[in-house]
This record gives sequence, C-alpha cells and structure tokens, in this order.
Amino acid sequence: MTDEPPVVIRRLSYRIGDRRLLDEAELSVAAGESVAVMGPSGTGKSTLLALLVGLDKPFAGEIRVAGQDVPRLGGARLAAFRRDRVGMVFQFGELLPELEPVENVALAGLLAGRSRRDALAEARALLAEVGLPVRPGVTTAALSGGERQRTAIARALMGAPPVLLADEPTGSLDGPARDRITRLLFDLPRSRGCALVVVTHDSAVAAAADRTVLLRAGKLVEEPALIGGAR
Amino acid sequence: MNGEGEGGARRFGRPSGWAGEGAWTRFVALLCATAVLVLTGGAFVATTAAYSGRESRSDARNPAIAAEGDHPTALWTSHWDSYRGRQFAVVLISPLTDDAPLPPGVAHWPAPGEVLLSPALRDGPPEEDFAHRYGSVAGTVGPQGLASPGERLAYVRPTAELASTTKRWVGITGYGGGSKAAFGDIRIVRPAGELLAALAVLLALPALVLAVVAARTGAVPQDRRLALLTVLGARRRDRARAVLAAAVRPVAAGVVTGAALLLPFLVLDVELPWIDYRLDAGDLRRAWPWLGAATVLALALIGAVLLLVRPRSATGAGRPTRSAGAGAGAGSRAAGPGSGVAGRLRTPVLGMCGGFLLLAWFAGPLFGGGRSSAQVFIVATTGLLVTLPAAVSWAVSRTVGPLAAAAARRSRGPALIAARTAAAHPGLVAGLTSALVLCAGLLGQARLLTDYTTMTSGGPARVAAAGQGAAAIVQASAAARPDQRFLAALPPGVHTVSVGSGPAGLPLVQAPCAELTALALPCPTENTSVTVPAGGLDRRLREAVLDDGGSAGPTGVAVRTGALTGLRDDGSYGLVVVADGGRLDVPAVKAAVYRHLGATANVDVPGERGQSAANAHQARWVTFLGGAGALVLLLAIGFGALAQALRFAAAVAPLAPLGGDGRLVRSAARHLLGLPVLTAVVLATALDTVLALPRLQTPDMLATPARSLTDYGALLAAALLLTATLTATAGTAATRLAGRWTPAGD
Repeated sequence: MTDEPPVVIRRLSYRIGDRRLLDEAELSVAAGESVAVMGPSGTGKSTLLALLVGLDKPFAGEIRVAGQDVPRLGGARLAAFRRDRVGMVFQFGELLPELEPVENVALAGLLAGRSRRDALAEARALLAEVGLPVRPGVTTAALSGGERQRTAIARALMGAPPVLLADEPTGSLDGPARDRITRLLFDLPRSRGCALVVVTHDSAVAAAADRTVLLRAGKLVEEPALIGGAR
Repeated sequence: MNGEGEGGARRFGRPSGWAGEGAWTRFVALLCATAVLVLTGGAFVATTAAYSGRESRSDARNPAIAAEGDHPTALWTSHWDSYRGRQFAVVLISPLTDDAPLPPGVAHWPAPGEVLLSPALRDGPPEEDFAHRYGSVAGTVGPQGLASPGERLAYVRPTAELASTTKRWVGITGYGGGSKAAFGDIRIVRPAGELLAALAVLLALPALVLAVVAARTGAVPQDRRLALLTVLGARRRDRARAVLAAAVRPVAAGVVTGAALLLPFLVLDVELPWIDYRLDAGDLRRAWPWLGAATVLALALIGAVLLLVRPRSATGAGRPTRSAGAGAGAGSRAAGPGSGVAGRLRTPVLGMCGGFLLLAWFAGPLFGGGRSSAQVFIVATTGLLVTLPAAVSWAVSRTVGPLAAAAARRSRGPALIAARTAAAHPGLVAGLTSALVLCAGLLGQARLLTDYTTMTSGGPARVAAAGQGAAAIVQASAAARPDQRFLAALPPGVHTVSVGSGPAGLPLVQAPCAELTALALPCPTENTSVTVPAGGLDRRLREAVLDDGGSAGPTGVAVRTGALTGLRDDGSYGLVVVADGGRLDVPAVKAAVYRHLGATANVDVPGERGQSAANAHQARWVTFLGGAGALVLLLAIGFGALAQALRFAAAVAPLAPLGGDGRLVRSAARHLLGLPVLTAVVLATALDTVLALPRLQTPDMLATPARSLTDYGALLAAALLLTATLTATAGTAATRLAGRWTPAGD
C-alpha cells in the first residue's frame, strides 16, 4: 500500500451537453481528514460525489478513491468497490422505509456477503455508536428526519470503509438536528481514520470540516476565509 | 454472498416491491401477465397434445386393408357428409365373419340398416335429423374411436340392398392400418405448424407485450430501491434476486391463476366457444410434463422480462435520483427511450422494420403475385408488426416532445400540465401509442390470415350461408338407383334433373317433361336436345350446373327430355335437386340419398363446394386467437395507461389542493392519455392504408379488400370509446391518489 491519500482528483472534467460542470478540478483528501465542498445549487457538487462513487464517468481526468482508479472500474469490481471502500450518506437518507433501521444498516453488510448474524450484530453496534437505540418492530418509516440520517450514517459506516461521502446530509433537518448530525459526521474521520467528503450549501456545516473547498466555474478552490473557521 | 446473505437480499427485495403507490396495480398487472403467459404456454401444449392425440387415435382406427391372400373380416368404405359446410366422415362397414374385430370405440356391431353416431352427431340440431339420415340409430361411438371428442362420425352398417349401390368396398382385416387409410377430421385439419404459428403471432406476442408492460407498471419505487442497492455495492445477481424476490407473490399468484384456468381443460372435454372445437382432457393430462415445462418457461419469461426491461439506473448504470418516489422526475429519465437492452437493439430493430415494410410493399411483383406473394406478404407484415412498436416509440419520442412543448406555449391549466409532461417524458406517450398501434395491427393481421386461409374474403358469411341453399347436387355411382322409393323419400315440392356431358361441350340436363316444365325449361321431343343459354336458366339451376368453381364456364346447357339416369361417361349419376321456391330441405334430401339412392353418394350444396365454407370455418381459429390476443393487448394498454396515470398523479399530487375537487388532476390526465390514443388512431389508419396499397396493386395476392369509410368510422368510434374508458379510469385513480397527498419531507 502506498501513502496515496484515500481521495485523489486530478484534472477532472465533466460536462452535460455544452455545460461544463467540472473543469480540470483538483482535490486530495487525506485519511482522517474532512473536506466540505460548497457552492451554489446546480454547480455540480452532487455530480462530483457521483463521479467519486462511479455512478458517472468523467469527460477527462483522474479519480482515485481508496487506491482504486474509479472510472476504470465496472461490473463486479465497481460493485465490490462500493461495498468495501466507500460509504455514502444522502440528503434524505435513502433508506428502505419498510425495513427496521437495524436491517437498513445491515443491508450493506449482507450485500458484502456477511452472515446475517454478523451483519446485524455490527449494525446494532453502529446504531449504538450514532446514538440511535434499536427498537424491534419499529420501521424506518416511523423515524424522525434526524434519526433517519443517523441510520444512514450508520449504514455508511458498515464494513468500516476508508472513504465516507455525504451529499447534503443535513439538508432536510432543523437546526438542533443539523448540529447533532454535523458533530456526529465530522467526528468520524478522527475516531475512525477515514476520509470524509461532505457536499453542502450550509456554511455552518462546512465550518465543521478540516478544509472547505468551493466549486466555482468548474474548479475546486480552497476557501481561505473558512479554513479553521467556526470549529 | 453466502446463503444467509442471499436470504437477506431476498428479504430486502420482497417487501420493497409492494410499498408505495401503484403497488396494487403492479401486483395485479404481474399476476395477469404471468397467468396469460401460463395460459399461452398451455395453449401451445394443448395444440400439440390435441394433434398428437388425434393422430394416434386416427391411426388406431384406420382400416388395415386386406392384402392379396389375406382373409378379410369386414368390408369397409367411407365418404364425406357435411354440416354447415364442415365435412365429416361416414364409414360404411359390414362384418364378413362372426369374429370380425370391432372398430375402436364401437361396443357391438349394429344390425344391417343401423348406425352408430358420435355424440356430436347424436346431439346435433334436430333439423339435421342425423338420427334418421343413415339408418336407425343403434348406439354411439365411444371416445377412443373419435379423433377428438367433438368429432362428427358415423359408422353405418347398410342393408344388403343399399350395400350394392356402391363399388367402393374394400376388404379389411382389422384396424391400425396407418395414415394412408386415414379418414375423418385428420384429413381436413390444417397442419399443426399453421395453428402454432397463428398462436405465436396472435397470442404469444400480445402475452409478451403484456409482460413487458406489467414489468414497468408501478415499477418506479422498485427502480429507486435498485438504484440504492447499486450504490451500496449490490452485484448484478444481488439486484436480480431483489427484483425476482419482489415479484414472487404476484408471479406465484399468476401461476396459480393460470393453472386454475387450465384446470377445467384437464378435467373436462371443454368446448372452445364460437369455433366449435372440443378439446380432449385426456390428451392434455397425458401432456402434463409439457404443461409443467410450459409453466416453467412462462416463469422464465416473466423473470427475464423483469430483469431485462429496466431503466439504466436500476440496472447498475446511471445515477440514483431523488424524485423517483414521485415518479415523473427520476422515473422518466430512467425509463426513457434509450434505456436498457431495448436501447441497444433499437437501431437493428428499426432497420428490420423498414426492411419488412419494403418486403410487404414489393411482395406482389417480386414473388409472382399469387400464393407465394401472399405468404411473403403475411410474413413481412408479421415482421412489421413485431418490430413496429420500437419504430413507433422512436418516432413518437422524437416528435411528441417538440409538438407538446409548442402546444404548451398556447395552453393553460390542465392542458399545459399534460403538454409539458408529455414533452418532458415522451416515453409515456410512445408506450401507449405503440401498444394501441400493435393492437390495431394484430386485428388487421388476423383478418389477413383469415382471408389467406379461406383464399377469399367474406369467410364468416360463407359459414353462415353454408347448407342453406335452394339446390343440391348429388353425385352417385353407376350402381345407384334413382328409383321411385328415392323420389318418394325426397321432401315435397322439389324437382330433380340429371346432369352430365352434352353435345358441343355443353352440360346436359335431362328430366321428365313435368320436371323440366316446372323449372321453366323446354321439353324437346325424344332423342333431341335444345340449347338453353345461361341467362334463360332458373337461377338455382344455373348456380348448380354452370357456376361451379366461379371460373368462366359454358354459356348454356343442352336440355333433353327423359328419365333420371346416369349421364356421365362412366354411367355415374349427377342429379340436381331444386326446391320449388324457398329453401331446400337439404337434410331431407341427404336422408333420401343415403338411405335409398347410394350409400356413398355425395351431396353438395352450392356455397359449400370448393372447401370454401369448410376453410372459412377453420379460419375462425384465426379470428378467435386474434380476438384473444387483442383482449390481452387491451389488458396491457389498460395497465400501461393506469401506470402512467399513477405516475402522473404522483407528480401532480401537490396540485390537488389547487384543484379542490380533483377536476384539475382528472382533466390533466384526460389530456395526457387522450394524446396517445389519437396519435395511435392516426398512425394505425396510415399504416393500414399503406399496407392496403400493395394488395390493391396485386389483387391476386390476397382477397382482402381495402377498408371502407365505415371501417374507419368504426375504428374512430372504438378509439373514442377506449379514450373515454382509459381517461375515466386513469382520471379516477389519479384523483384518488392526489386526494391522499400530504406534504412530506421524505
């Protein structure tokens, strides 16, 4: 294993039609480091995460995540990469509402081929870690927004991936819930040693990150004013 | 993934299919699609089983002709009779020894002058009087002696006197004599391949369309879950398991439904409606392994459709999108025309569609303009029908967007919403339009096949008219006896003349003067004849004597006064029996002929000759299957429209409070669904016209005429009725869904 950072983006370009969302963008995120990506709506922040997890192919450039050349991955190798190397948190949780939270969390482990007993045991432990008690018989549909995001974070942590990606993880939450999820999320790089990339348009959330970059005109620009800000 | 993990994925898949709006619609759609596939498989098995059973029972009863040196145990011969244009065999049999073996299905020898009837003849309509047509009924023919349970068959043991009226007897030693001596239905049924091909085009294709539509009905929540599983690293097989697990309950219910609908066919000899064919339950029971295999194949097909007909985001490519729950956003992007396998196949399929159209157009000049051209034309139009949905989808998706967008600029309210939705998601319009065009095309194809089978148009009218003529033509061997007993047995008020070959190539008509006079013919003096032009002949006589085959025949007949006699070169008889006004009592004429004139005489009624009525009857299969296929397609169209309405309703649900009583949503749904129906009417009409032209240019190819204005009027009326039904159903569903909408963060 080299000392390559878990997330490396070099000269990354992406466009939809004649609209250039990413223009030779550069980013590197070290293990144990958190980076917030900010920018107005429609600038390509979510597209950046989609590229990192292999949901889209870049027009040009290099994307290396957890040592993998993501654009070159396909089929079973891409699936294995998503199972083992990255955890993803979405704005609305994207949980299966008819499952219990512990089952939603265990789902990632089951897809990785782990036994049901092991996956559920780790899922319970992760839910405890994010502060959500296991309540048998209560489905995810009955959870509050904050509880769903805790469940989503626990699911992303399943299998201890070296890279966590979060797309507007607090976008649907009120103030207190937002603060709790923000603290929980940004503590993870330090407690688990993983790299964290958070896309947000909320400067209060971004302030919790080690670094903040601004997506502007297709470039990822370090935002000095926010470095070391409100933390 | 290990065993426990696999079980977990299935568990995660199963409930996910039935959460959210449209779940019940999806359940019913998949149930129906599976049941129809099972029934279609059952139809294929039943067809092959029926043919196989019919063949084996026919082989077993075919007479073993005595070879030279053998001692025959019975004398045997057969001839054809008919009922409403459908021929059936009448077997004459006479045992020569006490230990002569009985034919299969016959329990005892009838006495001379007695007859055994199959149940279909025994229970035939009273006016046909089968009970007295050939002799006194002494019993029935059992099922093992019948090719199919509904076969019409008679075993007649003639009196010695009647037996002498035919020279066609052959000596037999027993039965199981092979196909060369085959008689009965097996001789006149169409080859199994033709029926199987008709099943494939008219039933299997619509069943597949229904499966595709069902696979996409209410699938948006599942697509969203699959996209999520993809992001979590689910492998292809994990996603496949999730898809299949989610479909287990409706598919299982479909199998049970299909099996339940097939069950009566395994227990009872069911008579298929309208086509008057009774299936042998025993044949189908013996084919149970094939029924099982057909069910497995149906399961494999629905599984394959579920796995293949999915948008890119759910197959592992593309990005998961948030608005899938509402449907109109992610779902439409995901299910767009470029999605999945269909997208990759589009170009070759479009090419094939164009090729088939050209082939249909030039089938006449390129293949001689006759039956070969007709076959090529039917193959080409079938190919066109199969590939047409892809072409229609492609064309509609290319044009509906700009058109609807332009309309939206001048519309307001519901029309604006519908136009914008159609413009943004042309797949919605394209899918429904394709299904409707396919439905219309299928009915057109059934009509083509019918006309090809009958080699003439107006088949149904021929079936209705068969056996209801005003004249009968009787052909009997030289041993026949047109004596007083025969004439007395004829129904009252008929006139009988002999026909044969006359001078100068003209047909000769001969009868006693009273009969000639009654038919407005002259009575020439003995040994002289008078030529009567065709125009001077009684219409019924002209049809019977001159219009045989429809080709340009003799211009008149020679008339001679004399007794009824065999005028043909070999001394055989040709008699024409004409009613004295009104309809001829054909059954009574047949009874007189078979019981007194000649045991193997042949009685024809103009209109039944040339197999046209029999063929028209067999062509009912095509119409029957075409009708069933059209019903399946209408089911698919209904589900498709309902699914669209639900997706649309989910997208516009937030507008419900604006509309108050739901009129806004209902009206918008009406606009959205009305567009595809009207587009389909235009396309189907255009296609029908395009395909009518080659038939008009090469009239010998197929007798199918171009549609009349009445046809188009009926098409328009049907389309309007369909539009009203679809929009009313969909509008109600959309209104109900929108009425339940409440704002929710997630």
